[in-house]
Amino acid sequence: MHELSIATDIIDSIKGKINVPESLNKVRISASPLSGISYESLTFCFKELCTTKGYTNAILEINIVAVKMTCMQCDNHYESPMLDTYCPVCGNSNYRITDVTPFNIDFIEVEE
Amino acid sequence: MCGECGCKPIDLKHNHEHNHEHNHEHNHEHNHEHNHEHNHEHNHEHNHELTPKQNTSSQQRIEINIPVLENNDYFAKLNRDFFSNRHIFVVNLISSPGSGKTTIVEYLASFYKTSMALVVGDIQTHRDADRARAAGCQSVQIETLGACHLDAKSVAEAVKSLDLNGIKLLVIENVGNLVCPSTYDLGENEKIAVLSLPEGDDKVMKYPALFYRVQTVLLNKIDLEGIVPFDKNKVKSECTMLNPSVNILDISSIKGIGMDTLTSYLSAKMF
Repeated sequence: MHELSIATDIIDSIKGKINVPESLNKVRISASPLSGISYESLTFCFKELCTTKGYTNAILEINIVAVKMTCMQCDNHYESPMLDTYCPVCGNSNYRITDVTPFNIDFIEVEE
Repeated sequence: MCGECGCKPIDLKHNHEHNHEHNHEHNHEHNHEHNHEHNHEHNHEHNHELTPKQNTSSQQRIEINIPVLENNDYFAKLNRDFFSNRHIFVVNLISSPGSGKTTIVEYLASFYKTSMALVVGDIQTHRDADRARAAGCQSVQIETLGACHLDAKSVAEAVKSLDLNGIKLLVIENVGNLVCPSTYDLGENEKIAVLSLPEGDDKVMKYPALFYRVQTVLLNKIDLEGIVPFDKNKVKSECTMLNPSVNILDISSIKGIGMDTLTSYLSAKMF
């Protein structure tokens, strides 16, 4: 249940960068399967937290980016939203991770 | 344009039925009614991914581009600089409850004595801090009272109660949990996961966020090999797959198996 902590971190981190108006209505973050979060739980916690902080219209949009991998058997490069996966070409389950999207806050949207 | 979702009003005068499907999710309620009749079928699908509010002209987008955990990362950097300046090597010990973290800590405390200190997190009680103290090292307990992980700021606060003179190794024993502590940088030099054999050999791929980030995995209770079902080669293969440079040590903190290898490993990294 660390999603509430993550939601708090999102708000605090944005506040550390800009003065967030109450007209905040969206925060877009990017996450990967290695971000260690439940997307549904985080979305729920974020909405609840924003309500208590006066950002009553704010929603969280999560841009889920698959992990990039290389198959250790056939050298195929592929992407997967799961880590327990198989190469789509040869079916081998042994891979190396080549790229993981950072767990980032991308942008916010506010009402003008 | 609809003020609720930004969908176009189309032509309010046309007479056709509106029976097409929306393939995007509306995470708000529609409070407006379509009070016109449509007399022809819409057989196209809506596949647009943008949430409707993005289409409204009154939105201002502000680029942020910072890590989600930037606030924690700030304190983690302060911690790392603080410890580095004092030549203290810091490990963040993460595992599920019951894997043997505190028994490992007891062994290390009896080995390093006054050159080691412990910060330990638990939901409640000072039991683990008491055990480490009895084994010979300074310790401070963080009772999280419900929080499932330690963060960098709580560690910084806890360390204030320790006398760090002569300390070469600081062990942070995280709250027993394979999920939540994995993404929080505490300012450690090394994340170490403990996986004990009775937990089963399926945990690495079940909790990839942790095993992707750790530098070392301690396979604890190795004395139970052959007694409990556990495919050690599978675990090592999956750990290496997530992190090719991971170090894996077979240990039994209760029996003392492999503990000299662990202390040699840590001593070699200490300043």
